Formats: sequence, C-alpha cells, structure tokens
Amino acid sequence: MALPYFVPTSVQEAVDILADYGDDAKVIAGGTDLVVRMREGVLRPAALVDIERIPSLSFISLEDHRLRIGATATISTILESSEVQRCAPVLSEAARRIGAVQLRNRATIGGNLASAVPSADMAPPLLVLEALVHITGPSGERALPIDAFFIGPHQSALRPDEVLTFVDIPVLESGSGAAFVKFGRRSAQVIAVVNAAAWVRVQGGRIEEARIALGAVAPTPIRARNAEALLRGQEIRGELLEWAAHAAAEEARPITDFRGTLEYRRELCRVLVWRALEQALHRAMEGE
Amino acid sequence: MPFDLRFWVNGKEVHIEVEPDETLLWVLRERLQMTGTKVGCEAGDCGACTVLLDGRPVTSCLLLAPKAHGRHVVTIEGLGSPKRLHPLQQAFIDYGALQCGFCGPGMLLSAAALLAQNPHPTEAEVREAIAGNLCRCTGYQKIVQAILAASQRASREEIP
Amino acid sequence: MTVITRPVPPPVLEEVAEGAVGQRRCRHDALLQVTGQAMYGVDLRAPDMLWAKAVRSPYPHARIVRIDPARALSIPGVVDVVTARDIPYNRYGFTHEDQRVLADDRVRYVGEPVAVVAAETLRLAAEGAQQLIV
Repeated sequence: MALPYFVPTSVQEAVDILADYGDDAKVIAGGTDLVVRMREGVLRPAALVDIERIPSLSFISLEDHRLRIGATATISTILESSEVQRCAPVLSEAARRIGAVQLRNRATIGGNLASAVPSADMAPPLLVLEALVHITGPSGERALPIDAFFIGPHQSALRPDEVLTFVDIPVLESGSGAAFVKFGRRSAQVIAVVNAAAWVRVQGGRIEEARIALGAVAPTPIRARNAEALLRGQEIRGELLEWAAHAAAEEARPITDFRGTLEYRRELCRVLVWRALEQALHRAMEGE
Repeated sequence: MPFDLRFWVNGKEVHIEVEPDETLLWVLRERLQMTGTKVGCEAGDCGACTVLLDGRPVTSCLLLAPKAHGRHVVTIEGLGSPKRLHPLQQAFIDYGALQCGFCGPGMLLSAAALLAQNPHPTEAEVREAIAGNLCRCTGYQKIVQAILAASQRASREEIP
Repeated sequence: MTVITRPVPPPVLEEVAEGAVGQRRCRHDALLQVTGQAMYGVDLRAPDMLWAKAVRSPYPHARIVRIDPARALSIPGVVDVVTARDIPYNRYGFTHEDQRVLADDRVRYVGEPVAVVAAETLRLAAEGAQQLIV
C-alpha cells in the first residue's frame, strides 16, 4: 500500500504538489483528524503532503497590534504562548479545553479550522475576534474573514490545492474583553455539545460593541448577530445579558444527535452565552 | 513509496524503512518488537499508546511513522530500568496504583512528562495531565496519589 | 473543567505491625506492569502466526441475510473467514451461556462480531475484513 508521502520545506512546494494531484492529495499537519478518518476508511487520499516541517508555518508573532499564528502552531504551543495569553487570552482559554495533553501536543490551529467541524473549539474565539484566515494557492495568497471560511459541515473555503498558512488576529485593546465556554459530557477529551465565545467593548457603563459566536449548533460555527444588535450601545444592566442570551439561543439551528437533543442544545446556548457575556464584560471592565 | 526513517528510541538511534501510513505505534510494537506501548482505541482517545515525542506526550496511534523522523521517542521501556526504577514507577508499585495495568505505560509517561516540566504539581494539575489516559479499573484515585507521592519523594529526575 | 483545589496529600505509607494481617503487599506483577514488560494477549507472538480481524455489525438489530467470503478470500495472504457456522458450540457466558461467539441469524447490538478474517498480517486481515460482504 505504497502511499506517496511528501515532506515539502516551503509553502510553494506544498501547493505545487497539491496542484499536481488535483483533488486527491491531502494536507497533513498534526494528523489527529486525518489519520482517524483514514483508519475508518472514510478518507483514502491518493497522497499526503506533510506541512509539519515547513518552518514558515509554525510561528506566533506580534506586530502592529496584530497577533499572527502560523497554521501548524500546535494547540499546546498556543496554550503556552505568553503573547497569546497577553493579546488574545480567550484563545488560550479555548486551547485549554481541547482534548487532552496528547491531543494538544499534535493538533494544530490550522487543522482545527480546516476540519470545518461545527464544534471546532478554535472557531468561536476567532469569530468574535474577527480574525483573518490567510491562504496560499497556485494563484497566490488571499485573506478571508473567518466568518467566510466555514461553508458547511466538513467544508471550508479552502480549495484542494490550497494551504491555510496563518491566522491574523487583532490584539485585544483595553476596555474590551472576551471569553470562551464549552460544554461537553466530560470535562476533557470531549467534543463540545455546545461551545460559545463572546467579545465586548465597553465605555462608561455602556456596551459599545458586542460579538457572540456559537459552535456545534448549526452546520458551521456562527455569529449570533441579532443578539449582538440587542447589546450594541446599551447600558450595562442585569436583564440585558438574559435577553441577549435568549436571542442568541433563538438564532442557533441545533440538531438532535447522540451528544444531545435539539432542545437541550438550545437551552445550553442560552446558558453558555450568558456565562460568556458575563465573563467578557467582567474582563472588559477590569481592563478599562 | 517506502520512507527511510531515522529516529531515536529511548536514546538509541534506529534506522528502518517504513510505509508512510504505518503509525509509530505499529512501528514500535511490530517492527521493533517493543510491546510495552499498548493498543487501545487506535483513535487518539484512550491514551494507552502514549509515548513521549521530544519530551511531550502524544498518542502514537495517530502519529504516522515519517513524522518521527529525526525526533526522539521515549517509550515505557525507556523509563527507568528494572535496577533503577523511576520514582513514578516505584510510587505506582508502593501505592497499588494499577490493577490490570494496561493503562500503566501511557499513564506513567504522561506523569513523567508532567513532573519533568512541573516538579511539584497540584492535584488539579496531575488530573489535567492524565486526562488523556483512560483507566477502566481503578477510578484514578491511587494513580493520582502515586504521582503526587513521586513528586514529593524525588528531586527532579531526568528522563532519557 | 472541574478543578479540585483542596490539597489532598497522598497517604503516608507507614510501617505496619508484625504478623501477616495488615502487612503491606505489592501486586506480584506490579514491577512487570510499570516497566512495560507485562505481556497481555495482544502482545503475544508465535512464529508463523496468523492475524485475525473481526467484522462487526453497524446495526443495533438486523437480520443477517448472507455472508459472502469470496472477495475477501481472493486476497493473497487471507487464509480463512470464520462465521457462526464454523463454530461447533456457539455459546458462552459467565453464569448463563446465552451469548453467541459470532452472530448467527441476526445481530443484537452495534459491534456484535459477525465474522472473523484470518490472514498472514494484520493489514491483510483488515483488508479482508473490509472486503467481506455481509
């Protein structure tokens, strides 16, 4: 079963190999999603393009108030990074809830996004931070706002001959705060039943701007824009969070599966969004 | 096409030809006859196949062999030696941490990596470090106690 | 994640009194377990051994209409396909022998083994299992 296995040392090389194979070659980084699907027989790639050894993909850098994380940065690296902790701690928070130590040492941020599973834990934080996803293909480089990246379950905007190269995140400014919450049937090593993230910017007792993202309750991770609109410009007061959480839960389109029923997931949305908003507000007000 | 794999296992250099879609778990158990690393779920969920890759615990069932190229792997066979047990191994014996023992190799390596990086962990940190190692027998209580005891007994032990 | 923050020191292993009762004992195989030397079923090897892969039901309750081993057996290196028909006494259990080794007319749970493919390597056995028509 001689599987062609390529170890390119540059993104261009990787793209050229992918282009040669048309639709049939697959990019592999950590392999924690791909190898499982290969073992199950769900995926039978004609070749593998291993991008783990491309030096330009495994960085974390801070420049001009933008945090850039290379696609092959592992979840562990993100969790341990002081830049991420300082500039986008909501991402560290999400990283901590992914799998367990062994998984985090191999899984990458690029893989988590490219898998395009609705429950991807890196997605809600990146959605509320309005990150940009950078992609390189045969026709060059492009940058996509993250909410245009997810098309459907297991379907992202990545074409078969493209490589996700890095994620570009605006740094959290003072007066803003974000939080991530995940609910699963265990406390670790679990796919989210529902996950959520919230980001707020406050000024003088008012919410200037708010963003809410939900995962595992729609074909893709989503933003809850109606709920966000309810919060914009509002004076911070008790019932506000409840209304927003309720609105967000209504925007979710969950299904019933073996992890939970539609009704339970909707209820979880309400609870998790409330918690995420409360935590985000707390952090925003602390940093004002 | 076969892949020319060169890597280190427990400090010794190994050079073998592998199929790219062979996993490190397979290479260790079948090609190198090192059956200490166990086969569990083969999906990265149970941790029975845990080895250390450049000092970090990973599930070898999902690591395609070429990815180990040029890297250092430590298996249970490389933790301590029968004449000089690692403090964790001694603690697991003393505290009766294992019953059937199948989770043991993976559990010990995850714990060893924890102590190498955090010599005096809290109970919460121990539990988080072994969250990826499932045990069907014990309920984890004595495993956690053994790891805490080992951390208290030993000054930092180098892992090979 | 639930975080346990109260400090719980591990029990001190104090000396126990003379006599057999209350003596601390270690598992007879503890050393073998912690060094990875303990041999479990899946670790055993014999020369010229075959490898087996079970074919299991994806359905919780279904009738087995037909098992066709031809395609699996045509793979070089696949030696045999064993089904319920080949088992003289197809029952086992602890107190009541009411469980089948291999499902005969129907399957009763997801994962119930229906057939076993034997081959010269595990990879071939797995391939044979994929090619078995049930």
